[in-house]
Amino acid sequence: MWRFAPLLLLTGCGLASPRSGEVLSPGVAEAVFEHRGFGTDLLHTRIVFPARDDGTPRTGPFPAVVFIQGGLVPESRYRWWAEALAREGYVVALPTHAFDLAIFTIDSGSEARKLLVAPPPSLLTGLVDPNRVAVGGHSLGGVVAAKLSLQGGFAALLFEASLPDAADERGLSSLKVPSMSLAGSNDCSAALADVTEGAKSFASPTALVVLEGVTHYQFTDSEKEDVARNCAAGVDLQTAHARIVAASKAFLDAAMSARPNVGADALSAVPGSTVTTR
Amino acid sequence: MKPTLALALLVGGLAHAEAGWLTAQGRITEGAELAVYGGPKSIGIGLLRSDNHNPGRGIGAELAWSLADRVVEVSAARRWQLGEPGKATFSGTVGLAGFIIPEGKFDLALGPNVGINAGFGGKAISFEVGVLSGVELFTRELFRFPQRLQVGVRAQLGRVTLRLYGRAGVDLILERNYILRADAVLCVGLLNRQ
Repeated sequence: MWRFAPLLLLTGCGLASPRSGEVLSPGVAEAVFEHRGFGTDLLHTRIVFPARDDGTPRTGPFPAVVFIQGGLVPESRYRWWAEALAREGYVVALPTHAFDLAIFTIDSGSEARKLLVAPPPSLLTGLVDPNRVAVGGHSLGGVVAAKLSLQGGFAALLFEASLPDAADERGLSSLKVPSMSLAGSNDCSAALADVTEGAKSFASPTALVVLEGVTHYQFTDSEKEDVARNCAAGVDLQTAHARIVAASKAFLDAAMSARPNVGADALSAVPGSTVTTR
Repeated sequence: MKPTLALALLVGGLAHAEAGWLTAQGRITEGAELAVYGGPKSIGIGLLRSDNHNPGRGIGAELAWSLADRVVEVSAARRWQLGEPGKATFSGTVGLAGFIIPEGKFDLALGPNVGINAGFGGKAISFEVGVLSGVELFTRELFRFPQRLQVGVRAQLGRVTLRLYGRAGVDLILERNYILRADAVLCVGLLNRQ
């Protein structure tokens, strides 16, 4: 057996394309895929999906979201959000990036979309509706998500505590898909005034949703960074998470419906939200 | 933030040489040299050789295995000494780099590259700087334009050489966003003469 080890080293074991995942909670499982991008690069993407009790996927196709991590924030810290959306019938792809900085390889998100819509034989086969794939990101990940949306192929753009790169403002002003900027009123990293100004770049239909009392890192699995810098939240983490998920789902449901819109009524029904649409 | 960025520049998670490490050297050493190298993302072996009748010219070839991406990298280059060797010694390279991607959808890539290198110092110890530019054509619909800056130190003691090189830059891809690249290797070589 071991005499084949050098051969295994040279040829690898084939790209990991799981047929089932690890169950995270009832109805939701997770699997990590290896896929090739940019010619030579081996990319890794975490997929969280609606699943049966044995970790196999429920019958699709489902809408999907490619979500880009914030700067220096591991993608696993958005698993709570992905898990909540998967419970609501979404497939969520969380591409990984070197040093947790998506700006190193911006197009990893595009490669993750390719994985979703044209997957290898795996649990992803037939799982995703190729016409209903959104892109989103938190903080620096939102900047990257905007760049990805400008390349086309995505049905909606979701910003979480983020504002676009000035270089993309012109392109975003003519983007043909619904967008939402989801902000926290107590954000100490992406100031609400800046996020509000940045949201003006988005073309109609778009929504700016401000969640009362929510901070920058409450969009992740922990608010420890906010606590460390004395950035006080107006709501507890559990409440913030529930409202972030409710707003995300309201927007994504409407944006990827037969008549794409921002879902203004459902957004206004989210507790603690102030919604501005145009 | 700063330590992370510094680390990223030294040992970037996405590497690839996109031209030989060993040939990016200002001074062309007379004779032949066999070297092995390794870094956080790849291991390789290379051969440098000067022309028999013109030590100011030479060739180099390298074979590397990218541990992280599980890709074979092959490169070869022709080298020319530019001007007379001195405290500052310059060389130019013109080469080819290729990739074999065995997993997933099998793919191959090949493309030319050019480089200008400067070595500051002598035969025993030198500080090396090089700029590299290339084109890579993949059989599966992709053009890449790798651009790199390489810096490092080279030391020679008797017939043994030691190099520590770092390389950083970008891959430009048509109609897509850039990819930042960074890598570092430690090379140990053996010359066939002093």
